[in-house]
Amino acid sequence: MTGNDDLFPDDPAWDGDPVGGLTDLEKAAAACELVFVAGGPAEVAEGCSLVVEPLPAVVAERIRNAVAGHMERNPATAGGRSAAHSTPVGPTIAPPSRHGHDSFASMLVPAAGLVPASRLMHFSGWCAALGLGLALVWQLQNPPVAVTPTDRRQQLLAEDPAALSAAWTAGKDAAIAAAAARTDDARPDNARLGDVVWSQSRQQGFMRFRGLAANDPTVEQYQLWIFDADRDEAYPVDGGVFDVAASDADGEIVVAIDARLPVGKPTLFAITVERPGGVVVSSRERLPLLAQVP
Amino acid sequence: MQELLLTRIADGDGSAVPDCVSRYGGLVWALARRRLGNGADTEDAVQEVFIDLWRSAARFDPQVAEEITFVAMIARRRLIDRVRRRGRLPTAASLDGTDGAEVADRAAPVGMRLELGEEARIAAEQLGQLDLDEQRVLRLSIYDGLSHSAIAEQTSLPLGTVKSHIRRGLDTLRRRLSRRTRDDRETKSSESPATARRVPR
Repeated sequence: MTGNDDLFPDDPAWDGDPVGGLTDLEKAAAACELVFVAGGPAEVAEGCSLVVEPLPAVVAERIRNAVAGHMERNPATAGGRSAAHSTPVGPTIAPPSRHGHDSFASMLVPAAGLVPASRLMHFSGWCAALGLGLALVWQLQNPPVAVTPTDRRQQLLAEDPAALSAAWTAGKDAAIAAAAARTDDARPDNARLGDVVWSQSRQQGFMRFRGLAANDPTVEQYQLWIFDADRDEAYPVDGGVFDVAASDADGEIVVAIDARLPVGKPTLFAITVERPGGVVVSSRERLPLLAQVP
Repeated sequence: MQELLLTRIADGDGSAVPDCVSRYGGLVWALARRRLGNGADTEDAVQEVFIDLWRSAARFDPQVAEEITFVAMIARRRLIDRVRRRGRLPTAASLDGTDGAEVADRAAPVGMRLELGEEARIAAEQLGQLDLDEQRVLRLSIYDGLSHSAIAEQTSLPLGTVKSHIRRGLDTLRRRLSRRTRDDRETKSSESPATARRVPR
């Protein structure tokens, strides 16, 4: 237990998303922490600034690349305000929007409100026209790129021959029971239930599923975990949460992996069923699918 | 006033991400090392904080919190999550309040300067008005991340006193910061476009 557990014993915000459920007490605690990092109240009174050791160049570079890669892989889930509903065709992994987002959003002005309304009205017409023009020029000058997860998966396999592939095997869970129990399908698991592909050099991957049951995102979501030989087995890398729509449950779906941390040597991919938004540490009670890396 | 990088990120300006890492990397690095020590896990934690900042940028509202405070809040939560995941308590070495200070002291001559903002200034003023026991208890709780019982043990103060110092200290600061936010909003809303003055940069 940390001091914060005692500090906010009844505050569920501490158990969820870092943004959701933002409280005034947290803001006060963060302001205090800044003072202590700066050396204490007396130091800050003399000059309201802080002197810190810069982030080591190697670490800074790695983080810049990681965030850039994350942005590239998740163009539709960016911090950007306009992306929330621009998910490409097919199911993609959602940002871990754990339980507090709505309450946090209600504490802030609507995202668009950050831009003065008068400016928006004044320039929106010009921007729309300019945007359309640029989009047209871009379309003419550039061939179409892979936009669906299925296309991006194919592209990854074509561009990285070293990408590893692992077949899903069914666990004991209702979410996959129907597909696992089918006796009329003689194909091996990797053809029957799907697979996962992962490019180590690109830190990018995709999961393909057949027969995974549809979920109600307000009740539960699927969450991917990546076990890494370089890390403690108790703490697999969170690969993000995703949903299977009822319309997709009978067909094949491809979902992009959203690894939250670099993966060194993946050994096992596991799908769990968790509360909406996913969890930080899974109880692993419901494990519909596993894929052991050969 | 410094340019707001999170607003740029929220507007889809990818070039603001490296700027954000440059401006706040040192701060997040210091906070992470304080809680997690050195090691690959600390680097991962810093990376995780910046990914969350990127994801959260659209929710940043400068009228609710200053950018640096928002960054510190995100970092605090991510780091607390990580400490919990590790199931690790702060080490004995960190309890004496010296190792983090050493980090700051050692960094000072070659460090980078970061403006703390008005909210930290108010916090410093508020903390400065507390007696030394109260200040120490808040530091052990917020900065060192100790539980109430560990603080009571370390300071030889009754557990109830520790709790009330923390609750009262933070609650008073919370009210002061809220009042400032409210006053700021009222001031801004009362400034008509005709009377608002532009401050040359």
